[in-house]
Amino acid sequence: MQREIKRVAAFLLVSFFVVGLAAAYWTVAGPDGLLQRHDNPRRVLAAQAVHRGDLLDRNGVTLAASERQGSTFSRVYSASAGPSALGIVESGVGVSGPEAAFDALLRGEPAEPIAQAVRGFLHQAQQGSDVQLSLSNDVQQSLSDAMNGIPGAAVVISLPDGEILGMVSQPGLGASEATPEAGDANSELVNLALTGHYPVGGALLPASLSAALLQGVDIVRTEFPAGECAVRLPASLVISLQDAFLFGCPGPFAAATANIAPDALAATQSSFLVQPPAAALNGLMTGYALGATDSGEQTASPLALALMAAAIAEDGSAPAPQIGVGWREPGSEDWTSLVTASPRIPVITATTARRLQDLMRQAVAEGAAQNAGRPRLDIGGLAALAGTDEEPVSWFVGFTSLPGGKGAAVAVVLDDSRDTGLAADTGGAALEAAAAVLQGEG
Amino acid sequence: MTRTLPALPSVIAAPRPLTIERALLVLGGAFLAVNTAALALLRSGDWTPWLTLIVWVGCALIGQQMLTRHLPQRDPLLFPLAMFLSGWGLLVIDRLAPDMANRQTVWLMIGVAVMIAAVRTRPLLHWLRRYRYTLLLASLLLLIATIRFGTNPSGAEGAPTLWIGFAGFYAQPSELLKVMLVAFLASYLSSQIPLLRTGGHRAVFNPRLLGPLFLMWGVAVVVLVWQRDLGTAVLVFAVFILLLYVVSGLLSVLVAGAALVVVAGVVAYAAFAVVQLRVDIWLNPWPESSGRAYQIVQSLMAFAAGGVTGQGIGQGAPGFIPVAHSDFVFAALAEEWGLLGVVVVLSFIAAYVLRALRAGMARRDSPFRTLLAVGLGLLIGMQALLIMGGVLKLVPLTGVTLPFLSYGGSSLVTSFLITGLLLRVSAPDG
Repeated sequence: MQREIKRVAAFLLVSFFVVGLAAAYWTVAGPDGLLQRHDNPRRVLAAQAVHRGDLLDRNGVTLAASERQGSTFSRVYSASAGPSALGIVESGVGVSGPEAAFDALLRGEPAEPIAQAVRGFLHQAQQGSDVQLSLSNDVQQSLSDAMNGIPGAAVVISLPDGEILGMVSQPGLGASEATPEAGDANSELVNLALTGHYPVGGALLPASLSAALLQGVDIVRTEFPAGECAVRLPASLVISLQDAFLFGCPGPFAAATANIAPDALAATQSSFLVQPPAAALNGLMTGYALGATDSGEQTASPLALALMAAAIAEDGSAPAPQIGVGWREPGSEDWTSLVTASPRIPVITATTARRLQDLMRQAVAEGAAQNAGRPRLDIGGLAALAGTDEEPVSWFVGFTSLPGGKGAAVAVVLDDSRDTGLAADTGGAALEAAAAVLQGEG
Repeated sequence: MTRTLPALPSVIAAPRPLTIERALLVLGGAFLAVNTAALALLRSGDWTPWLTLIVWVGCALIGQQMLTRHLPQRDPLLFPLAMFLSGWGLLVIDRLAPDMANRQTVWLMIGVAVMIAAVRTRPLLHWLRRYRYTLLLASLLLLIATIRFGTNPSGAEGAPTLWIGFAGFYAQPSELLKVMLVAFLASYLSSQIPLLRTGGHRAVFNPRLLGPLFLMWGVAVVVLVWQRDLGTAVLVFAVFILLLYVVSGLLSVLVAGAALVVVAGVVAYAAFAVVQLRVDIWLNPWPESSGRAYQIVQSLMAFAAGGVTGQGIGQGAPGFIPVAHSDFVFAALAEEWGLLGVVVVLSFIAAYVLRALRAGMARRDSPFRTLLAVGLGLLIGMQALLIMGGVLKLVPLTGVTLPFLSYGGSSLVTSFLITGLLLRVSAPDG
């Protein structure tokens, strides 16, 4: 039996060796494909164990930071800029907004194998890079305070570079609600300031007026009944197209079909709804259209109308919007630029733009947008109503010009509201805060 | 004047076996102490892991003292290997399911006590040989009792009822049956060796010669299959075939056994949904990685996550493997101790099995003791291979425990009973 026992022993040894080889395969050769599988729950743990970099505003104020909780980290947002502006981190991965756009930088790269082994041995978390955004904490705060929880959205961009200074989207997720309920993701995670589609109605009057000017219509002497306006006027009151613009009355422009060719009007309106290049906003807007036609009604996002205001303020061409300013490696003070060079987007002629600037300043001085006015600030704007009687929205679209060729443009929309005065006031507050920030930067 | 110099030893004395045993126990204890400290620190100073270690040290000390008193010429490796593996198992269970670690610690004490009892009971081997039918039938009756009175500690509906419960404690009769069946085979085959060695194929397939053996073994397998304890049935079958080969020396026994495995596999695949499931997820688990194959896929991911050096105790995520502390303790260990830990466990189990076979080979004076040691070694070795191979997707999952390491009182106590019997065989006077 000795020989047979030795053979059995050999068989067992070979079997143990094969088991060892299989274990070596799965531990050494197999991990690459296996650990990257979407159904590997360890990925979530690994992602949560990454010390995600901070999101900073343009002046270095922390907007989003990671706080350690045991072996993982949770994301904490500033009071001024919640997840609706900065995006959401789910299971350690950015899934919307700037958190998603800069996810790779914020999570950082895994270290070299040896450094990774040392880090693992010492249980040190992978550290991501900090990302600086063009957002201003002050502008964010002003915009948030002015909106005061009212449903709607607003966006402020700086001129001439197109950097986003502030954006608010309500209803949105609060800082303490960073993890959305499943199923609510679509409604809650959308940043309405960038991608929300609202009926534009009278907010697109600059396009209508521009079409009239291009066709040589005398906007002072051509008159029609006012219809519904941004301010309360008798509907039967006959007013000029210029006054209709100042008081936010789209009715006269719709009635002037004999003076303004409908095709030309539609083409001009379309050109006013600027669609920035895909690379704009560091890819944040990829796949989103800023304007659309819904059941025959033109809709647009606040960003689209802010770009329209920017084009008017900038003598006819809109800047490509930007949100990323720079990033720095952990522990480093050297910033690498994130600004992408994009060509400006031509919208209208300089002559028409200047005429529109003057009329918008007049609207703030004595028209429907008076609430936007601020002492010692050159502000132009337009207040308008849109939507239906059941679901109205109030708009303010405007700009401010500052010394040194700087400025800011804003679009505010209040959902389910006919209070254009509040929209204008909100826009004025945002422009005032933006002016303070931009003038402070010299 | 001449001076007489003291005589110098001609060779350096080899370490005494018992010194080796003691040294191995100290090394094992040191390993466990370091890991226990890490686990306690991880739990913010929780002292319960230390309690487990203290019990382990107590078992090691008492066990060694008792063995030295009653069996001074035993194999020096078997006891340290058994203690080290069971200590590591306790550590993994404590890390995965602290509540169950306390229970397993109690089972460790019972296991060591059973081992000491097996060593101290001088006529035990004689009884196993002499009363083979009685003991096997008693074990079978216990197993059959599970058909009527069986339960499952998990309480899960539809789960196999392989346990008999009493006062909150559960025992699995099939564990005892495995040992009794090996003892029966060793006893029966040893009494037929002359005929089997000289009779060739005719002897092996002679119903008169091996009829009683086939009958008893067949009844055991049928009851195991009836109770859906298919893993144990496969294990018992493999040990039986290998023992028959050892006794007869006929390769055709192995060939016939392999053919029978294939036939039985096909039949079982058609007859049992659980076999179908296990074969399907063995062949291709990936499409159902979140469903029926979740456990095996998570097991493989645990190996992948462990890498070469492992995540460290408490640092991995073996909790993603359902009931990791039982059948998948090997995968949990791989995640936290890596390939290095896997190789150590493999080597130690292999060493344990080889020492068992060596002990058997050394007992030329007693064919029964030879076959008993070989059979028990095969039992441990094949059981370990079945579950480790299953966890690594080398073979379909069988649901047997990893000896010494997996959670399970019956399994641990049986493993220590086997260790006691092997220690007896390993001693010339045992």
